[in-house]
Amino acid sequence: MVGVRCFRLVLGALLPVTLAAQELPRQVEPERLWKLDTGG
Amino acid sequence: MFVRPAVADGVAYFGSCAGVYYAIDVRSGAIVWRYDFRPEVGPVSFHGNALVTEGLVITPTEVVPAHVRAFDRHTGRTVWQRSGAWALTLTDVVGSGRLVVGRDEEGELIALTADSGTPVWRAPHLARRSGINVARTPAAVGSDIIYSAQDAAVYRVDGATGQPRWRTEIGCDVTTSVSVGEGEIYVGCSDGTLFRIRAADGAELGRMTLGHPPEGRLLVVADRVVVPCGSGWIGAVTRSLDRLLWERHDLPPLSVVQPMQWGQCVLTGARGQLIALSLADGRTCWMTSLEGSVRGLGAAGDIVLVGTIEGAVYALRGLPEAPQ
Repeated sequence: MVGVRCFRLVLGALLPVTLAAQELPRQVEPERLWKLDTGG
Repeated sequence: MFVRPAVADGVAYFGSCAGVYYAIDVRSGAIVWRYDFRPEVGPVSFHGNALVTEGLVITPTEVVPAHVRAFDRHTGRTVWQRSGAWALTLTDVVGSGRLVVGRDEEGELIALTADSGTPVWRAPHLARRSGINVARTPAAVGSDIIYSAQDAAVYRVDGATGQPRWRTEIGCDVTTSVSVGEGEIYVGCSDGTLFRIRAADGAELGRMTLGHPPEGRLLVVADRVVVPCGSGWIGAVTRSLDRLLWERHDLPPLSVVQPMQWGQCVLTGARGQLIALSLADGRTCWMTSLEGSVRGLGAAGDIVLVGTIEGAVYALRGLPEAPQ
């Protein structure tokens, strides 16, 4: 039981860190097929 | 490019704020045809979405007096054009067999035939007390038209005759489009309230106070409604309007008024960034850098079209459709 509690505590401590890491916006680089400049 | 491009048979149709209307091959970027409105009608921009029929693309323009033009969508030849003493700012052309445009000065709806632009009916019974606000484009439900007016009410009119079917007073100034999903209508107000109305009879099914005045186009997707606000706030609520599912107020000021579904994400944007948020929980799916402020969004198969306030239009492929 102690082990389970510790695991939960550790998991609880790690969870916010994990979520915060996921919140960092991931920059993606899609293929740019074309660009048209319409002038405005 | 402010509008959502109309796409048919691999060609995207959109107008630019510089006054030129384009038909672009989505994959190659080749200009199929273009039409410069400026010599004929002067400075013009396009803030309402076009309607594509089997053979035509019919676009409103933002110019006074109003000017609606129907192009042969394959050749760009003008099939008909109609000008009148009405303003159409930000009003979509909607409908199927007929099309409806708005008149924001006196509140009339005007229906023209799609094939020739011939006026069919007007709705003068609305004119005395209601106007169609620029942000309140009508929506088609079957052959009927639903719209909001400046008398703080939502209307459904018979698309064939213009006769009203019902009027529902909501008591506040509508600030969003009328968005339709599975027999229900959603509109937002200046006091931050969202309304859910039954399309069949206009009965109010629910309301929810957000505290952020929604602005632009509500996006109804599956079991939720995505709500943009001009303040930089964006969120999602249940379609029953009983619960806020998620909200984001930490984003840069958003420049997109028509968020777009892209797989499991909703696309929006800001200066220099196209931003994808998870429809499920609002987390950032991904971002991609672009020059300019993102404004108009559209899709054609696996390609996303992105227009910026500065005038550039990008075609992007390979954007993830799920959180990364």
